[in-house]
Amino acid sequence: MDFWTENICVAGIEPITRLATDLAARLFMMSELFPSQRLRPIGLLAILGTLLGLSAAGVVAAFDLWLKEAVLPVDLLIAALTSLLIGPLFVYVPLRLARRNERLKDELDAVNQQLSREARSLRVISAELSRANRQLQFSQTVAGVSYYELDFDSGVVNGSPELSTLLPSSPTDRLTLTGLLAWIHPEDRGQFSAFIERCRRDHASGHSDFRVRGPDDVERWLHIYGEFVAGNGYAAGGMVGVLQDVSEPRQALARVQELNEMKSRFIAMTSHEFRTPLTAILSSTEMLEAYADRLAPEKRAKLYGMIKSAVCNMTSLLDEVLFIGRADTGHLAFKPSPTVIDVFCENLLQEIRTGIGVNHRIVHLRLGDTRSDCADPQLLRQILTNLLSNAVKFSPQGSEVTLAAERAGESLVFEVTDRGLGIPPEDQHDLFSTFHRARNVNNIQGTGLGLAIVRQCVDLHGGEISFRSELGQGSVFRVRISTDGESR
Amino acid sequence: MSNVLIIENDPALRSLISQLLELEGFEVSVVENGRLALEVLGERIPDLVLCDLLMPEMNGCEVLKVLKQNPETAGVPLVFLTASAVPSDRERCLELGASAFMTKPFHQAELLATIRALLPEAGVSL
Repeated sequence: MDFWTENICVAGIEPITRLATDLAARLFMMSELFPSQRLRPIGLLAILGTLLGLSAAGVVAAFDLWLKEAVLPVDLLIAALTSLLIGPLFVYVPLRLARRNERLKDELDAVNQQLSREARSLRVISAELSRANRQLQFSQTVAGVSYYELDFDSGVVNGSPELSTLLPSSPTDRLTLTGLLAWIHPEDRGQFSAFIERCRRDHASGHSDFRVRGPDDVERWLHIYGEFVAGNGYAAGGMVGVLQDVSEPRQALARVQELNEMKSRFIAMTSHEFRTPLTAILSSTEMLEAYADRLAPEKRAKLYGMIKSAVCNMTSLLDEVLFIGRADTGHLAFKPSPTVIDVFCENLLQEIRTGIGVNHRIVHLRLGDTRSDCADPQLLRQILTNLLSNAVKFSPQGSEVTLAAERAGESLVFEVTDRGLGIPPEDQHDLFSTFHRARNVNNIQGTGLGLAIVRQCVDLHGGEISFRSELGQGSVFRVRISTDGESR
Repeated sequence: MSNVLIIENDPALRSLISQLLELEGFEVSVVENGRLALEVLGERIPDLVLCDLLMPEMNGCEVLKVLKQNPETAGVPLVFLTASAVPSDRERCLELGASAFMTKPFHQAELLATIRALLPEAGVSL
């Protein structure tokens, strides 16, 4: 039996329709392989061709069977009528399927395009989010700000990674309120606990400043902002907020306060130091005007001398204030020039001996070669004059004041020694501060600027100054300046 | 003759004020700080005290407190002569019981007028 007898004649018409449908479906699937709309009709033509081919084959097979009298004419008629009725279905159904498939395909394409657009949009949003997150992290790091969440029930504190830069904890540590309290400065713990309690009790927000031991074991100031967050059900809730490192603003504030105090000291000092000689000048002139005829010539001369002395004191004070002012504003230049220190010191000591040190024994110890190219003679004069002037002022008349100069390696070392009052230990810490005067100076004249000037001049040399002093025994001030010019 | 105790840190002003008061017929005692003033006050009570405010060892306010605590010296008028221009110093001193507060530099006539106002029986005016 041939193919047609086996498949069509035995099985009847149904397998043919199934085969046709199957083929059509396969061909439609093939048509899907054509991605271009222009090539799709090729698939449909292939289906139509196949159906026509199958019909022709069916007619030939039926005619062959009729000729072999294997089938009755009435059967052929029934088959033909059935084919006429069912045949269009072979075209109609695949076409409907194709159209539906096409519609679904279009819908799928639209959905795909929509998804692609949304995916692109999400990628843009994701990139922007990443960038914003980086900016936030950068800002938090630079500003020293960290986000935190505190759970009142467990006492656990969670937060952004910057927490570990503010507190002595690593990012992996489990941070708790109790642990945080242990790092807070004992003086600030009560205030910090009260702040947390206030937020919890009043369901409020607030802020507070406190000191804490930082990761580097250095104390720092933190500013905390927090607000209450209600819990679910029976949970106590918690707090959210930020912690910020405010050490620098605090230091700046302390510096401003220090400068204000210095300004106040300056005003008080200038008021006192200027008003006193002004009173002497005013009183002397008024006395000369009112009592000239009753005053002996020597008393009148004494009054004129007081006026001159007061004017000199005021001029000297003004010079010192201006010098400090120039040094503080950076207008004091360091101008080194070749100097033979021995000769320089001897000339200076001559001035001292015939001036303020007329009642003291001023000794110059020359210790080897002390030539230098790296000293500024003007600044060096300020250093030595002020040290020698102090030594003379604060030691008894007739006592010895010594200036020694020597080379020690690449440095020049000066030592001024007196056998005077000495400096009380409690005043030694602030000795070089502007307007600071030791408490045992009594009524010895002075402005508290001399040693501040010395310190400025030594600093301009890139040198060092130190001293040792014993109350009632005297003091030794030691200045070291470099001779190689590399210290500055 | 009224006796005036001058407590002044600055030697030039000590000399000038004492000269002025002597020329005006006052009897003058002079010391350079508060501690020495208390020693003088223990020996003789003056009719009036002229006192510097800022002095080493013992400042003017401390002297005033000691003066007011002692019934024998509580009535002695004390005039502050100070180079301080801080307004709060003036208020503080007057609250403590100072009779007057004069800021340096002052005119001699003003000083003499203040003294005479506090010592009606003082010597002749300028």
